[in-house]
Amino acid sequence: MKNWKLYAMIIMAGAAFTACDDDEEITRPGGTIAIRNESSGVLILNNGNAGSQIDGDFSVIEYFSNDCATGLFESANERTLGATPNRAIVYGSKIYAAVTGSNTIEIASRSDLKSVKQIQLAGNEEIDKPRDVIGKGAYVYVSLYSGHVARIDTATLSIDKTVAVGAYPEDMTIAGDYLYVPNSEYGTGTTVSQISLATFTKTKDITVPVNPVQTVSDARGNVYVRTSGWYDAEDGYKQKGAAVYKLDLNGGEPVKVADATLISLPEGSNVLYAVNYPYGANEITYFKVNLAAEDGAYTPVPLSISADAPAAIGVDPVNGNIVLTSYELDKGYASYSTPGYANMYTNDGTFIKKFDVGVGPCNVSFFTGKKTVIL
Amino acid sequence: MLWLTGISGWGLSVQATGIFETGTPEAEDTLRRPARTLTPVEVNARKNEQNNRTVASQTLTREQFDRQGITDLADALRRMAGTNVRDYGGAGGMKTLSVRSMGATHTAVIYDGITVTDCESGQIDLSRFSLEQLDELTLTIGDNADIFVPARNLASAAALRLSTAAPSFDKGRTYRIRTQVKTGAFGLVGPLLNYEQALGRQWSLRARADYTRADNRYPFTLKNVSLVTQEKRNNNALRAGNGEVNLYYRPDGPHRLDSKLYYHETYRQLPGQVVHYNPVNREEQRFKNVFGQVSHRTYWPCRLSLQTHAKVNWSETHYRERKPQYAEKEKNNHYRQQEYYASAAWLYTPLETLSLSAATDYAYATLRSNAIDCRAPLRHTLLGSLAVKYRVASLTATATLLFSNYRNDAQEGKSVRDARHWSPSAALSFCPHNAEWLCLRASYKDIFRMPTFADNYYTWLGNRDLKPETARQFNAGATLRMPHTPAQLHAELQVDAYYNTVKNKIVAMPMNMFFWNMVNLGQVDIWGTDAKLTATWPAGRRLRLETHLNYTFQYAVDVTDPESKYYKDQIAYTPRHSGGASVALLSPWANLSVHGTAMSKRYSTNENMDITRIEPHHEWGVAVWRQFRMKSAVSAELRADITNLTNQHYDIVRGYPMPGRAWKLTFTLNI
Repeated sequence: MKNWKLYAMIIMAGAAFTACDDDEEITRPGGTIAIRNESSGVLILNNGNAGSQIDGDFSVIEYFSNDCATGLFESANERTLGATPNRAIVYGSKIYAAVTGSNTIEIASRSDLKSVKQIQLAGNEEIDKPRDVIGKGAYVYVSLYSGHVARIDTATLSIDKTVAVGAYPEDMTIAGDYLYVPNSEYGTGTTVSQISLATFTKTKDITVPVNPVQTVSDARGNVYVRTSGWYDAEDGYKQKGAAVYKLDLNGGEPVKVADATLISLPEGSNVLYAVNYPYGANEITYFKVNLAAEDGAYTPVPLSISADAPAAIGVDPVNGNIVLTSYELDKGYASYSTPGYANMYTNDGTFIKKFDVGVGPCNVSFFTGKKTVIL
Repeated sequence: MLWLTGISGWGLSVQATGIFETGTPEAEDTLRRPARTLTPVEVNARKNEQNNRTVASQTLTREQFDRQGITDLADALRRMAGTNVRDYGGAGGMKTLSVRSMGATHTAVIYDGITVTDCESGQIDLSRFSLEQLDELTLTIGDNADIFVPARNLASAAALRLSTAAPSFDKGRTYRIRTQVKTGAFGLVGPLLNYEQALGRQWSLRARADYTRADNRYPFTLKNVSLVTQEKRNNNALRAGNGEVNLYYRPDGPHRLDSKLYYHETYRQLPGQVVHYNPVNREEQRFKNVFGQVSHRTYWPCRLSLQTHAKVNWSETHYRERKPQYAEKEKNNHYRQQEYYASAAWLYTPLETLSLSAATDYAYATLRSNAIDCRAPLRHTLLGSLAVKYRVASLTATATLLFSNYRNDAQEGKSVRDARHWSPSAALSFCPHNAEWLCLRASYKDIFRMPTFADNYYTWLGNRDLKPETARQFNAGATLRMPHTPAQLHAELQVDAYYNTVKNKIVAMPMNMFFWNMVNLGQVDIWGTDAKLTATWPAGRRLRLETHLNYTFQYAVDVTDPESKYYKDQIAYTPRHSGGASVALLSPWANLSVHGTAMSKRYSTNENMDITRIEPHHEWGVAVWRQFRMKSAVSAELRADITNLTNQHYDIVRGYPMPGRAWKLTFTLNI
């Protein structure tokens, strides 16, 4: 068990709920203080393996000690996180996790990972199977496989409203005053729903290429969708159509940015980091794209990162560290029932360290917050 | 001169013919009298006792089911050495049998002489057979001592033979009725009716019907690290029914005809794996199976015997899951299988010491399903076998060669590659005539199993290019029998040591998180020992004590890739040590049986990690029963069973807790 208390003192959650505003300097009669964005570590969510009855859990990489610990939710709470958690975010003073297999939303304190509340959805006739979580302002939004987006009030930690979208909604993004959610419909969907945050109702559906699974947005408020495509039965089941597109919110055609199967667009950035490894491909490519290039083109720039069987990629919005998680290889295939690992690099691709994490490291997020420094 | 004709189940009929002298002192030269054929004599004796000494085989009969306190088929199998029953919990829960760690797809199930097949999954769910239907069950590893069998009976590494006997009536009686009602914990109710009728001198009928229902909402303890809660197993109800009609023709002369019509239906709610914080699972399955089979046997004085079989099998499975995210809020998978099977086998015994057998089997199987991405795949199976058995002095040598030809096709879409294989096997046994207490045996069997239709065609997962799994088995063993002592203590010890190796094991491997594929990957080495000890002791004039012990040691490891971190880890769900014991005290006043089984730790994955470890367990039960003889031919029996007496909490399959303490009461009436 890592030294949580020391770590907690470094990060002060602060009042700001939106991470990564620019650093501020405030001059007062007594002196000048700066409020800096800080990032103290990486939160890796391990999926587990439902078939082998391995529940998911958190792994945390602490920058301070350059060390990693796994099984932290279980050690803190003396019970498991649950089956197949899919997404976890650090928001304000808490961690929110969508645990799909167990049909729960776990809300834990970010400093000691002790559970503050567990919302159980088993038996709920209306909404079912939380998939993704994202926060803005006083709310955290949850997409659910039953075809809904639910809103959690962070003051009461309860769901106060839900809105219906398409079937099997996946990873959401927030741009401006709208929430965007892709409706994958388990592989056949072709829409992204737009929801107004003010009224929390669906405002429109945007048509996209088939099987949209993730939406991301950049610093300028542009929205992008990643599709997983399809498996071509006529061509050895090769995966086709897995790519990232920029959406035209006024109804025009989406514009392709790049072929990719895993992406990360850190908050407040205009650079997309990507891994492309569709089923049937012979090699894995790693690259980044400047979405705000002057010539308006999307030019991939290779990244010198690599792993055996990438599972997720995350980029620290404060210091730019790239974290690439992977399944370990066993007998030549990715092993889904044994622990994986995470490779951490600096933003220019220099390898820092390899960390052992849990089974199925499917999500990377960061412990960011504000730190007050007296100048 | 005597020779053995076709053997089925445990009945044996012996025909005696020959020239016979009348013996009266007449002036006539009796040798010139015409030969007379004697009326046939039917001998009902158990041949398997002899079998169990020459090959690695274990038999349990109807009386032994009772005496050892065996409650159901899974329990019977757990008392046998070398078995690994995957039990998902509850009355009527799915149960599959793997023998010596080969996997359930390598176990053939033979019901009254003909194999029961499932081309979709390749495994037989044994919960569809109830112990009440059976008169005997035999588990044979490697080849049977009886070489006069259909070719398909030789086509698996292990065979479980379930047998029912033709009705036999006491003098002066032409019918028999057996009716039974059982009731037990968790809403178990099961009526049964068995009716036997002699139709004239040559025909007889046996009709059977039974129904079982159970709620199976048993309590279990859920340990979530330190959070321990008492839960109930939900969505676990069962409704199952069986109906069977058998017609037997036993005329004077060499012919015998057995025919059967069988119907089975199960509706089962599936509770699913236990998932933390989410006890809701809305899956259910309905299974229907109808088959008809006919077997004919005959022989000729020129020492030639023939047996022919024909079977038509139809089964349907409907799987349903309700979930709000499905289109129409539910998913329905349908599977319909049909199989037509025919077999002919010849036996020629030119000398008393030599028997030769040749058999040919043909089967045609089709599958129709909405869960496969191929229209109506079908498979033609042609099997041919040749066997030789040579007996001289104390030595018996058997050699068998099986030829398998599988041709696959489909109405639409690409079908699977064809396969052809030669599978030899050989067995040797040495039972010295002057030392009747000892029998030694050794055998080798080379066998393979075709990928199932699910392996080949299941949507996205199936792989058309799969090769069959191949297995080689080596076995050496001995049976030691204690001769009858003055105290009439009788004991028998059966020990076998074996080495099996499986190559090209068919496993599901992930291509990426969403896309898995069945591949031939995997090699398993299995070293093991099976031991079985039986001791009976008549204590006093009316008491009898019976003890049974079985122990299995298995070192079954994954040897696919020496570079792997998990090289030589014990394969999933295989304990190193497992065993069972039962002690029965039989008396005219009441009978008592105490029995138990135990298993050492095992892992739910092929990688032995703490997070997938399943704790060792032991389970005990007790049974008390008494027979009541009423007027003339009417008798009744009352029996009480308690299973899991010590209320152990354990899983056999990880995530499927087994029931705690449970009671059962059975009342049987025989008229």
